[in-house]
Amino acid sequence: MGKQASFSSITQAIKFAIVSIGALVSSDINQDQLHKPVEYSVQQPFLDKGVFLPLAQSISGFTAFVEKLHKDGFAYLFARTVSVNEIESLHDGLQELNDLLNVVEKTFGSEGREMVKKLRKFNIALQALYQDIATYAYKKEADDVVLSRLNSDVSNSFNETHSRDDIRRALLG
Amino acid sequence: MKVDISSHFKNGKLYTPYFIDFPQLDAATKSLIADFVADVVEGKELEGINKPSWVNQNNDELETAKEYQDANCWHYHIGPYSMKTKVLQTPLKLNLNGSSSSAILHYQKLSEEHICILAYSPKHIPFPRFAQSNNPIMSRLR
Repeated sequence: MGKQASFSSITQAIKFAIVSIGALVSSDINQDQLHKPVEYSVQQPFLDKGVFLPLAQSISGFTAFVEKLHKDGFAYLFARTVSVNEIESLHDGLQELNDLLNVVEKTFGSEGREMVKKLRKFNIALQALYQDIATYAYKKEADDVVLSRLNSDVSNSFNETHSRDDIRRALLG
Repeated sequence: MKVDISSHFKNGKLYTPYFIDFPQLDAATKSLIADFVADVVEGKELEGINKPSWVNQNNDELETAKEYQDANCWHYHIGPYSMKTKVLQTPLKLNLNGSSSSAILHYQKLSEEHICILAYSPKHIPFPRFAQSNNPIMSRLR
């Protein structure tokens, strides 16, 4: 599989996870709007392993795929070949998945624990890969700045003798 | 409360998706930071999440973030906030239930009454690893 295809597969996997999980959460939101108690807010079929299990298995497959790419050093290759926009789009997907996970954790409780665990693992694998991609992609400009300045000077110091206006003037001009 | 600002952050040139130095920020973000400094100096209650950089949102310690703990690095969710909260906290106590924002301000807690602002991250998920090459915090510690 080519580098570009691999990267596209990752973003597609994130989209799949977001859409699938988002659909379950939406059901919860709809039910909630009907003023049903929270514990009944998820429709019973969604609590059935018939839904959770295939989804959890798909997520596990994605996780293994992402971990393998990471292990094989694809982060460096992606950083050199994928555009900054695509890298940041990957980040946006990560962020959305993370937000969704927080909702799912609260929504599904113990019934969806196994799926949430697998989603967390997927998210962690994606984050680790993204961190390395970002590190490599922005390495040069960051290193130029960071490595040239290794001291701990203080530019401004404020305490209770300074008014809000003093502080704003000093920082904003 | 005394608030110092690292000269590297105040005058720096860093501009990456992870870290942006003060001169490169837009006016609205600069204003948020100035108000944060003023709020802390005045002891005004703060709205954003405020927590050590070595724990997760459940306050469990992260094994991978020990360096942040060694340096007593914390971060504050500076805003703008996607969801508002009423859980305010006096500066700069732990507040896990405050409003969350993508953008955070990294600072070193030198004592309970003295901090130094080190860096700004427009987004923090995933949280920058201490030793990754584009993380400037290490070189700005006191």
